[in-house]
Formats: sequence, C-alpha cells, structure tokens
Amino acid sequence: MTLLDFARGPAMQWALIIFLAGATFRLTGILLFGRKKPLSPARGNARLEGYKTIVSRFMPNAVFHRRIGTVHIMSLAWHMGFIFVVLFFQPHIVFFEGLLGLSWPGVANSIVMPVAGITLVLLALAFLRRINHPVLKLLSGAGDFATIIVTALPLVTGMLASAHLVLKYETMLALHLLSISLFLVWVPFSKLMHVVLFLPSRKRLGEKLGYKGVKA
Amino acid sequence: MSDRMSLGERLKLHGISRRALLKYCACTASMMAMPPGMVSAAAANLEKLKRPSVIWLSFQECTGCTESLTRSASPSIESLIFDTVSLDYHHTLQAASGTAAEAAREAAMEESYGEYILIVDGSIPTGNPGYSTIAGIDNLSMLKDVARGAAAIISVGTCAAFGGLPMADPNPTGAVSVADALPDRSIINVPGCPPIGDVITGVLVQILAFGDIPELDHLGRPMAFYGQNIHDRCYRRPFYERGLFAESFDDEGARKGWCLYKLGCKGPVTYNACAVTKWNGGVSFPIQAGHGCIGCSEPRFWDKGGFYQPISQTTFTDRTQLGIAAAAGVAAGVGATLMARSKQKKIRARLAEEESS
Repeated sequence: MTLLDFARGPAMQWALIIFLAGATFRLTGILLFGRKKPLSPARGNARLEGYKTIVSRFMPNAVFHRRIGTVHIMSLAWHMGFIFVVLFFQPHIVFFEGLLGLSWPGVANSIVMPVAGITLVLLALAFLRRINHPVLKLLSGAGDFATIIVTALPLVTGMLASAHLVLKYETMLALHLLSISLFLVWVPFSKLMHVVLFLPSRKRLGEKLGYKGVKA
Repeated sequence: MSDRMSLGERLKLHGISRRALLKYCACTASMMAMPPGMVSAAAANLEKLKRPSVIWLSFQECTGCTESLTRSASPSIESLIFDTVSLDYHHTLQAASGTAAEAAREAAMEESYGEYILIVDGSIPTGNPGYSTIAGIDNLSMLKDVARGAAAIISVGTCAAFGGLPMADPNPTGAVSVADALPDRSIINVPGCPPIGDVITGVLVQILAFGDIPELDHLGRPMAFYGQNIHDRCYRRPFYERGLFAESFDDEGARKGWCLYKLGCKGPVTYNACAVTKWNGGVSFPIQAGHGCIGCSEPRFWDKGGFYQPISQTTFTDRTQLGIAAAAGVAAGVGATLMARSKQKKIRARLAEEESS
C-alpha cells in the first residue's frame, strides 16, 4: 500500500469516523443539556432574536468597529477564503461528490489559487498577532497554536500539490489528504469544533438575550 | 543471414542508410535526454554491434507486451534493430516448440553465458509451481536459471515489473514481480500495460549502444521515459487549470477535449512517456483518444479504486461505518446527557432535603 492509497483509504475513513462520532457526541450533549426554565415572562421574541443573532454576529457591533473592525474583517475574510477554497476547487467538489453524492459548479484554478494564498497569509497574520498581542498571548494555550497549524497544513500541502512543487504530486496529494484527516480528527477535541457549533451557539445566545428583551 | 554480420551491415542489407540510422539515434537520444554528442557515438556503437543474444521469457502474461513491440504500423528501424538481435528464445514468436525450443534456449545460454540480455514479460506464480510451467519447468526455476548468466535483465510490462494483473487482489497464484523473484539482481523495469514499443526499443538501444544501464527511478524505471508524470505533459492540462472538465464520455466537455480528471484519469499520479512519445508512431495516446489514463505503469494499478473514480475521492466505498459512527455519537451524547440530568436531579433533591431539614 502506497502512502496515497493509505491516505485515500483507511486514513480518511478513520478520520471521518472519529469526526462524525466525536462531533455528534458533543453536539447532542450540548443540545440536550438541561437548562433551567426562566421564571420571568418573555420580554421579546426569543426565537426571532436567535435567528437574527446567527447573522448579526458575522459583523461586530458598531461600538466595537474602531477597536476590532480590522481584525474582525481579516478574520471574516480568512473564513470566507477557507470555505471558498474548500467548496469551489474542482477536485474538492469531486471529493464531496464521492462522499455525499452531491455536486456543484466550481471555479478555475487561477481564481482558487490566489484566494488560497491570501487565506494562508491571513492565517499567518492571525498566528503572528496571537503570539505578539499581550492579552491574546496570555489567553492562548498549546491547543490554540496546534489548531492554527492543523488548519494551515491542508492549505499549504494543497497549494503545493496543485502546483506540483517540492515533492512528487502523489506524495504531496497524500500529505494533503493526511493533513485533512488530521484536521477532521482534531475538530471534536479542540476549538475547531466551532465549525459545527457556531450556528447552534449563536442561536442559543440570541434566544437567551432575546427572551430578556435584549437586542442581540 | 550470417551471425557474424554487424548491425550496420544488416541495416544496409535492408536498404537503411547510415543517415537514417543517425536520425533514429538522434530521436532516441532526444527521448532519453542524452547530449547531442552521444548520437554519433551511439550510431557508431550500434553499427559495430554483433548480433547480441536475447532470451525472452514469458510467464503469467497476455502477450500484449510482445504485440506492442511487434505490431508496428510499418517496418521501422527499431523493428529492424530488434530483428537483428538474436532473439534466441521467445515462445510466442519462435518457430520451434517443445524440446527444440528449450534446446535453443539452453544453447543460447551456454554460448553467450554472462553476455546475453534477459527480457521477461509476465509475473511469476509462487503459490504453486504447477500454476504456470514451460516444458515442465516452473516459471520461478526457469527465471532463476536463465537470470544466472544474464548480463542485464529487463522486465517488460507491468506484470513482470510490478506483478500486474495476476498479482491483483486476491492474487490467487501468489504472483510476484521479477524484482521480487530475484532480490539480489538489479532489474530494469519497463512497465505499462503494455509498454510503448518505442520505449522498449529505446531502453534496449541504450544498453546495446553503450553497454550500461540507464538512470532509473526509485521503482527501477528508466528516468528518460518515466521521469515525468502524464498530467504535466498532457495537452489537456490547460483545461484542468481553467476548471473545464468532461463530466461524461459523451457530453460537450468530452467533445471539446476538456480534462478527463473527473472521469477518473490517473495522469497526475502516473509516470510514463505516453503524452510525449505516444503510440502507433506518435499518432495518439489514450487521453487523446478520449479515455482517461488508467495508470498502467504504476504498481498495483488494478487495486487503486475504480478506473473511473477520480483520484481526489476516497477509495472506501462502504459508508455504513460512517452512519454507525454518527449514530454512536448521538447515542453516546444522549446517554451522557441522561446521566448528567440524573446526577443533577439527585443533587437538587439532596439540596432540597438539606434546606427543608
């Protein structure tokens, strides 16, 4: 069995098994977790505020624009770039089609590659900020840095594989697939779980605040 | 035809001029990335060449490799060169059979011991000696016997080079490659199913002209022919970069000659000269004919998922385990929640009891 055979077969299969079991375990536990019923009457439409918060949290509140606006936009751009590369690079669509049976139109490599490059630069800036910012440095643990590395690896190896650089294509493709496997395994055990949790947690927060009549 | 005649004399006899031989050598040298100065040296060496002995052993194979070499559209210099080597034993091509054929092999081995070239096509069964025999001799014994006196050993075709189709899962005959059967010998692998005829003769010409083994890659393949992957040399590569793919074999993309990646083309992970040398005198190659590369010059190409499965897809087909994993995760989550709630309930009851007392 070659490295690529291993990466396309058992490695990806086990990574998906761990990802699915871990993510569904955490998600179910969080969704079913018992909460106290509020004693006061509702002062707003909790459900509506829940849905509104999912959208409104994509941008910071106006009062924070000056302080964190740039960082927030960079963060948003990083996430958008990452999702764009994952969803619209043609070989990725083929991967999802094989896995889910769903397909959608992709874009040319000449568009995906610069987006991937910019995305990687943004991630590098986030990493530099984290190690230089006095507060972030105090808040960051080994897991945070590991998460950045685990997220960067698929981007780096994917770009190198696509450009046929450094190592032979099949070796780099295998490393790319293995880095994705590592990413999938890392998700349930790290802050990367926000990939799954950001929607329910935003909705829950919006509902809680909305119930009290606070505009989220 | 006298065995003492040189190759130059033989070519003259067939009406092939020295200029034509030089042209052929220039073409071969450029294919093998040799410096231009080597062309005249190669031609001179070939001209002087006296009928070298070649023994061709065919084991578990389909004869496609021999077909590739011999079914050229028109008589070529390479076919004449191949005619000129003394093919002392090839049980598909030789007229003799049975005892006479084996006697010819033994005579050739005795006469040219230590000098003959051994070409093997087909894999070697090791599960049972009786699976494949020639004149009552099992393949492994014959290979070891003939290899002992060979100056060079060339594995022609993927079966000989890497085990090929006979070695495909579940490998019922215990097939192995020549390299695995002869671990102490250096083997030149010329894989492909079949290999390109020009590549077989190109490798042979280098050995004959210079008496040395060409530069090989980590799989024992001559770098000159197997140094680059097909995707890098494919004329459809620009369509890959532009994101234009054929989705089926009869759609608009297929008619317009777009990239065959989504139809399972293995060009990006296959090393061969198909996109450069092409087949049938440089006329075409599988991708040009509209079918994706199946990666036939790579080890275990039969067992790397489906021929029509794109290489970025996973190779496991059973999704049941994924469903079970998700269900197990949900079940464990529900279980953990129930346990937590039960614990919460007990704590609340205890607190209430403490408060009341």
